[in-house]
Amino acid sequence: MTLTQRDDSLLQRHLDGELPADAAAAFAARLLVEPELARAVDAARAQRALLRTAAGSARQPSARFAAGVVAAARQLPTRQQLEQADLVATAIRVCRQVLVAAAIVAAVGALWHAGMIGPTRTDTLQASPGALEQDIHQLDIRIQSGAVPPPATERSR
Amino acid sequence: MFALQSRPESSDAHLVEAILAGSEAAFATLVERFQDRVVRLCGRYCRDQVECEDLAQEVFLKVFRKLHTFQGDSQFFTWLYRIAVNAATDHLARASTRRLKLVDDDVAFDARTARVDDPSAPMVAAETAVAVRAIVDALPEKFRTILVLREFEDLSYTEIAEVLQIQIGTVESRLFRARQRVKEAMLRLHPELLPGVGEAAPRGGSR
Repeated sequence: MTLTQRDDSLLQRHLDGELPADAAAAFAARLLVEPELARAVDAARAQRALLRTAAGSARQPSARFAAGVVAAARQLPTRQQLEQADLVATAIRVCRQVLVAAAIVAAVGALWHAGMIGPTRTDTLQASPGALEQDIHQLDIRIQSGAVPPPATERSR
Repeated sequence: MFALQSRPESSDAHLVEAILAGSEAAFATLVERFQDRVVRLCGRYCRDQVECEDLAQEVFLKVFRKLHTFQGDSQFFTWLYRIAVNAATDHLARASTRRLKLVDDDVAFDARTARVDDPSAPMVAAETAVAVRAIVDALPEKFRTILVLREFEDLSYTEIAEVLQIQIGTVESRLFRARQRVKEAMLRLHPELLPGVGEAAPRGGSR
């Protein structure tokens, strides 16, 4: 005969003192009439006794342990100091972000002012063919009158 | 400031409140109240007294720093144990990278349990303790920790569940599996330590 999983569970909880009183009494009654179960309990109890030998003699704190801990804690920043440090760190972070944003805006403004960014020249493309022809005609008149030197290609011919 | 020197019986909640208000005396009282348990627990994971006290100090300093996060919805000592277990398992992880062989120097012999009429008893008891301890130390961390809390620290299932933040059913099944592993290892490595156990309860399956 082998133990069922439920018996394993009952056995463990029985030895750990985790069974409710009525269940513990019922289990104890079974032990009187079920030798197989009683042997399993004895074996488990022996194993636990063996395990507890490994606990050995527990370590004890030395006489100056508590004083040492308190002294070490004294070196730590207090909660108020930590909160203040957090506040300062947050303020520095926000200031840094504002400065970076301002620098970016200033740089974009400077580039805009220098004409390196912004709307491209589209007046020629947007001019009507008639207006363009008129501009060319007036330029020809000014070249012929000598007010404006001819383009390089014209001069070389 | 709280007058804690005149109230050594202050509850844990009062102590926590006083420490948060800045009372060093309250912290000293707290350390004195729990140092035995914390050092004993840390001792399960350390080789020697110095290492053990270093770890225990680390635990108390973590407690000091994190005290404002203690909600008070569980017992203070289970919260403290949770920090201690976490610190100890971190310590084990660091130690395993250095391949430390844990807890050898003074495992074991408790003279109160030795039989006076048998001069070989102390030696046998010490050897047994070392053998069993080696088996426990070789367990995966989660099995080792739950055995330490139950068998060595005598915590109830409810307390273990609070410390490890797991369900009580998980505590039970993990304990079962941990004990099963110990039994299998003992029968394999030191069958003489468990005479007759191999025949009893032969189900031996894992859950």
